[in-house]
Amino acid sequence: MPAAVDVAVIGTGVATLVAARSLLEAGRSVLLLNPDWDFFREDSELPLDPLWPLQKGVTPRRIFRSLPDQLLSRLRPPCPGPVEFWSTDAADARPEGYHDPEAPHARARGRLWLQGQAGVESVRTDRWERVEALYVEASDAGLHPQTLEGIAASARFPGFSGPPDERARGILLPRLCDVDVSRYRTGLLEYLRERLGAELMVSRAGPVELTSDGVRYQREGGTAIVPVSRGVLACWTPRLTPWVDSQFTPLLKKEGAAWAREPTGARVWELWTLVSRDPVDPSVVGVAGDLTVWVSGEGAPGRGGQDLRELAVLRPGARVGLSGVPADAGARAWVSAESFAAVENLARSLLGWERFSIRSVRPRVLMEWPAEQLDDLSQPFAARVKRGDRETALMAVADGPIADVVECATRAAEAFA
Amino acid sequence: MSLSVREGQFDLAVVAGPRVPVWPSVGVRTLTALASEMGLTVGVFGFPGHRVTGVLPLPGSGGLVLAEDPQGRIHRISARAVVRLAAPNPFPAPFPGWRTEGLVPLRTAKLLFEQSRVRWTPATVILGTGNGALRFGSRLIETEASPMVACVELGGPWGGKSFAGWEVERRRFETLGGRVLNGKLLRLDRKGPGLWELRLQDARGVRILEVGRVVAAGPFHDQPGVREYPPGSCLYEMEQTGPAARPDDVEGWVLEEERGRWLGARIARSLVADLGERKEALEKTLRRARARLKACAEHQGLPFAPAYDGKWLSRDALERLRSFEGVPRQAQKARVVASLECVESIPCNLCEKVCPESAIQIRRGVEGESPTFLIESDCTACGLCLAACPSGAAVMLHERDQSTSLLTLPWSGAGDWEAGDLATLVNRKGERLGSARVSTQQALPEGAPSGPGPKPLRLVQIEVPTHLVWQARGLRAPRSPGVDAEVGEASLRPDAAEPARAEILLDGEKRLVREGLTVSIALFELGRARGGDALLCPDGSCGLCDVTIDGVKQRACQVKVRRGMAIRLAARSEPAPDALCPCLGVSEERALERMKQGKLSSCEAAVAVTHVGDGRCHGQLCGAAFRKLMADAGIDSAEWSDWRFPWTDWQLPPRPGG
Repeated sequence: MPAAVDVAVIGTGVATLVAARSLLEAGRSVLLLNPDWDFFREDSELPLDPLWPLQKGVTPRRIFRSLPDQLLSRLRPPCPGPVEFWSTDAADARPEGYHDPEAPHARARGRLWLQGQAGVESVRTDRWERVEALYVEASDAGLHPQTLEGIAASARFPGFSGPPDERARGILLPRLCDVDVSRYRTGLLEYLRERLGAELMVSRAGPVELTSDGVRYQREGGTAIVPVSRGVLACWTPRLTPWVDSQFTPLLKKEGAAWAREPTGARVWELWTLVSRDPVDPSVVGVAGDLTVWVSGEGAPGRGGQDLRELAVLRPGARVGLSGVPADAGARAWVSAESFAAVENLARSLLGWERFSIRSVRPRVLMEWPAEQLDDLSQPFAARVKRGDRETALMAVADGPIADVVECATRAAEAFA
Repeated sequence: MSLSVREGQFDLAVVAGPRVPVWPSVGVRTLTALASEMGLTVGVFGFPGHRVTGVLPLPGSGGLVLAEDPQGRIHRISARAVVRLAAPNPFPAPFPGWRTEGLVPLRTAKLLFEQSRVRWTPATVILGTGNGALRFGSRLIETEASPMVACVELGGPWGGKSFAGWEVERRRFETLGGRVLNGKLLRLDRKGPGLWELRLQDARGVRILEVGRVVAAGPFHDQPGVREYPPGSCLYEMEQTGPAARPDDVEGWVLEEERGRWLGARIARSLVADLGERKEALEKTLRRARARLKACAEHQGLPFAPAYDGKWLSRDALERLRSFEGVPRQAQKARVVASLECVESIPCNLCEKVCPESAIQIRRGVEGESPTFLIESDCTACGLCLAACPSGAAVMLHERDQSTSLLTLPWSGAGDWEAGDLATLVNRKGERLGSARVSTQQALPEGAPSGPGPKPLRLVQIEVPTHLVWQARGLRAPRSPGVDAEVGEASLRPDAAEPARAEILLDGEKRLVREGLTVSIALFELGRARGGDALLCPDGSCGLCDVTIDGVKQRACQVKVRRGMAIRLAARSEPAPDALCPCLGVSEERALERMKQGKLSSCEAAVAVTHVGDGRCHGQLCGAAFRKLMADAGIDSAEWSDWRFPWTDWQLPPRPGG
């Protein structure tokens, strides 16, 4: 059992790891507590920003976060090993030198918003206006968006083999990135395990309680009480919500502190994986109606000569109350008749399929934050409680697009460093 | 027209997993009956009525079942508890060559044996030493389909035994001439059309066996028959072990029946708020089912492994055998009487049920009572128990005098015996003891079960030297083993008329195939089967045997051969043959490395990192091997169920106006 540490970091996902890593780099001693079995059960981090719904807060600033240079600058410092960058764009061809195909990676590809294709649920007019407004702003920001018409628009959609439609139109942002969350998480874990060891990096930490001078938790062999000199940082993901309800909220009330930012609720997202009979082109992430569609694939593009056939489809599902996260009656809305209708529409009208070929459906619960708060991540905390020299803080935006998660976790760690 | 989704709600949904061969099987019937009696609403979803395509877990509140009915409508069933019946693991841990068509699961082997003309020569190797393996091996020998059969034990944890099944099953298998080997699989290679070379490492070195086919029968691992995952979620997976009829596999039947009873009681206890007066009865049911399940494994804790002095049962073994309650003490000296030499405590009582005189009353292990089995004074030597015993452990004997005695053995071999024929006597290990004359061959009494073989069981009485009456337990025709292939093939169905043959086009070549076979079996007969055809699932759910028939992609296991059909085998590349996950080409080493690298501690993490089971087969080929690999990596997977979704495709309804 550690005698004392500077900061105790509590959480279940990537944000926790990024924060711990940043604190270690700043020379702080860290105790990492995960109430869950391990860091792989948290799946509320998304590989890309769906930028959806296109609320008014979606500005070029948020889009910039997914551009290669900005994203890599965020990912690379906290990640100990290499973060490879793969692109399907010839302009971003890999430079010479050693590349690790097994390393965590970011992949640059275009983002296409498609409208008007027969059979596809159109992006609502008001939202399409936002897309157009985004086009203007992206142009002004030098992102080189393109407008596409007719078959040129439809054909860029991942997996498209449906009937061409002259009324189709699309807006393409050429170089937004997505991240291999699983490998990124593995890279961070390896680094932290080497430096922290089993004593300071505890998974399945029984009920973690906040005490007046630190934390108390159950571990193999009994109860551990660890004094903390600088404070406790908790990273709020849906899986940590029961802990927030039982530990942090009462503390907040007791100390009379206020929430700096609060989630408006949570939403069940459905991540469908469809299988294509023919190889699919991974160069674009498509958005049609409520659906965001991209080609799944690990590692370097075209690695091993394997054809890519899996299409990931992200669909926003029902909203659920935060009190019910991670599981409540709202979760019964997963994979509803509407979900089937939406995916069927996609399969028919864009993919040109006769079979509904599904490999998996994973429901993912994500917290929802006001859009303007997602645009500005300079203040990463949902709430902070100061007691003497010590501070207990709850980090916001620890779930959702990985770019946001890393940004928030890095800033939160800076506050404790 | 678009997909129609119908909503439904039950307290308990019992669903068939992929490749479940019997539906609803005994466990499902027991479970649902008990749950209904307790006032729960129960939905049963399985092939062919509803094809269950997936279960979405809602931890803490049951799950969602998605099923498709024959009209193509999707049913979205919300249930407070879900039980998925899972087909048993068909394959051992991967080894080079494991995903070739040379290795088929036991169910496929049985279908091929019953429906096809595939050859089982020059030898057959069966992986595993469970009752199913031993019984199938016995059938191959009895019907003279395969002149040489060996069951290979791959080193599972079977308590105090070196093999998984009952001693009586092993005894029959060895008496017929089968061999039980212990070893480690090295590789399986094709040597020619219908000929494979299996390399096996045993204590003496590397054995090279030339075989016509290798059958994966198992069991390979000792896994719990019922899992709840995640714990406390009311999402259960129950392994199907029960056959269509009890005598086909008594052990599997009893196991599944008791598991169903136990699970039904447990679910009722969780879901019914106020059990009232039924609570005590429910608790009693739970206790009784638990005790019976425990009793099923008793034979592993107290095995009967007789020692031999040369070919002869050792004095101690003979004493133990003769002091067993199923064996007569005195009556055999005066007349013919049954001897039920089923020493191990096994959950079978078929002989008791069939005895018209109630001379068999199996009471063993009952506290406060002395064990009973055969009441020899009541036995009339009708022979019904010999016919009923699925393991051939019952005989009849009469010690007439010092020189000769009469021994009656069950016989289901291909040929018939006549009085005066010379038979070779063998001991319980199949070693030859000497010769004896056949006195009579009798047909079974009316109403007796006829046995599983193509020819009805017969009772053969032999006059044996008295010193052999407790030693000899099998007989063979003098020319056997070593029948030639033609005789073996003809003996499969001696009375069957030659079926009509249909001309088909296979990849552009004309071939003649028997009509009425499924395309998968026809491919095996033609020697064109692929690794993906091995599962031969009853409902087409594995999705691995795609072929193009007359231009339309179909499952080979679901379509019957008809005249003029043009079959084109799928052009896509076959899965990587040696990988842990053949569909995605993930090797065992790579998966293990990634698990160890991440120091993973949960199955979800292992799945997310390695992607095993994400491929075309949805984990049906690699699931069990992956489970073992996780155990090797220190991840406890015994209670884990893979709820990844779904198992098959949906056919979209016709386009609007199309």
